[in-house]
Amino acid sequence: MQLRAARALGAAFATLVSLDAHAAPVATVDTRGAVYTDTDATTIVTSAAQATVTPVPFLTVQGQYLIDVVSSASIDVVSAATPSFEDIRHEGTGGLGYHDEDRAISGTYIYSVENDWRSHTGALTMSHDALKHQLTVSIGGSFTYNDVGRSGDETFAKRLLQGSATLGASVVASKNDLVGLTYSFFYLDGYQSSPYRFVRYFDTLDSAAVSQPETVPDRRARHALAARWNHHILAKSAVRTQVRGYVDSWGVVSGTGSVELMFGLGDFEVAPWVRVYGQKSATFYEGNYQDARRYMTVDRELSTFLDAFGGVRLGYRKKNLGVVEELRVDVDLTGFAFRFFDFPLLEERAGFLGQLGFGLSFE
Amino acid sequence: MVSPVIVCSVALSSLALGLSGCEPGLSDPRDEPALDPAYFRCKVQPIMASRCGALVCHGSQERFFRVFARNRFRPLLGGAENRDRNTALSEKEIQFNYDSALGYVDASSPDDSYLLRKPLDQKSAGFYHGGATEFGQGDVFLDKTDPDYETIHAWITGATDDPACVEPGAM
Repeated sequence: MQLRAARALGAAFATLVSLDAHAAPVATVDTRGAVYTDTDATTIVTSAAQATVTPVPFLTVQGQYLIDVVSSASIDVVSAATPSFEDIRHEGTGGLGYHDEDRAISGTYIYSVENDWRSHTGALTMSHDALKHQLTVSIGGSFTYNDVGRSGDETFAKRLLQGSATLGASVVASKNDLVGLTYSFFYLDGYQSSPYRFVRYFDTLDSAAVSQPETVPDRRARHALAARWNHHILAKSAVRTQVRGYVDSWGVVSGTGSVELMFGLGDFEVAPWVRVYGQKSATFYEGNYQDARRYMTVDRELSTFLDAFGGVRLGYRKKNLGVVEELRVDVDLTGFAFRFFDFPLLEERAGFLGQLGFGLSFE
Repeated sequence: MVSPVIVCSVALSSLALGLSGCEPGLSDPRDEPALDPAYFRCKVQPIMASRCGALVCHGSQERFFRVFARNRFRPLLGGAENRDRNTALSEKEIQFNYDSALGYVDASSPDDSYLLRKPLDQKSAGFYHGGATEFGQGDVFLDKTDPDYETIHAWITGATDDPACVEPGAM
């Protein structure tokens, strides 16, 4: 759990398995491997395999298995006076989708387990095309039940519930432009601290600094609004831009901007991209607490920081290879850097993420 | 034509400003449980000193939960000679131990306080505690009938003592 944020990289794979309601092939198989490493002594190796079957034209069935292997001696681990650790997370996903000419609906169930965390997620998404497919409106929701534990501690058991709702619309603004707006709301209720983190206060450099377990509010309401604009520029080339604003009831305010250029070169696709993110800390976060507060945390994800990610995605697609309708290979290379402004234990973090994907579609 | 991204950026900024009012009171001081300092000084602190404060345990700078005790962890003495390490704890050191213990008390659910569940053996619903394996004799309190466990529990649930009480080793 100490590396939930980092492990979100693994969760990103889950987005790969979102049901494509308009998929033509009868079956697809995709595998993906990734390696994450950073200057904070953390390495994550992820492998995922996914299969999708379309038994009848309007129905899609999908399943995925993902495994993360995490090893870390990060500042979070060291400062908790615990040795470096290795952890394995397993995640299974099953989904069912229906679509017709104008509508699509899909349901997904995800089960995830690691040594100190177990979760069940159910999600439902619906979309409807209108105005001769010039407008698409989508709505979705999810619910997650989490059992939070503590490694080596059978008696430590907490619960965290999370619900989300998403409302989106995208419009074909011109023959070269697609714009979209998505609002997302998340509500969390339950244990959101880390059982491994303790906060020192009074004077953290003094021998007389006292401490207590990290405490954060049980409830958190999160709002995000994202706008995207995809602009077709040349044959098989496009620019994709997105901005996202975020606020929550803990006082975190953040903004994200990203740009991706996509160039199609025959069967190949090259897409360099960059993303910049800035965040203001939670109201109750302090780098050095001078007195005992109702809520105190040393979670750097709640501090003020900037990060920048950049990379290039290289893709290859070849169609009509006999029984194989499509062959897909892609490589993602990403570099990133964080600058923490009020997290005394770590000012900077940089790292690299490399991914390799391979997929086949059958008719 | 104004870029859709610029239009949306303005909309997002407006949303952020409109919703940035977060939950009040998040930075308030902690509601300190009104636990009796005299009972702590005369009954609880001696337990912490003898059963938690060994130099390989919580009588160490390395621990988040630290205990000052005679002849043990006395960092506030600075470079004092060894004989000073056996003097009675100062008011500042006693206050530190009190504050330190208070940080591990859950006033809303006293029985779930780390101060009770950490030293309690896991077979008796205690939390994981490195100290349980330190001496190969199980955790500090094997069960809730340990008199020292009961004393700490009594303090957390409101026991009081004579403010003029004299703690063991004060002289």
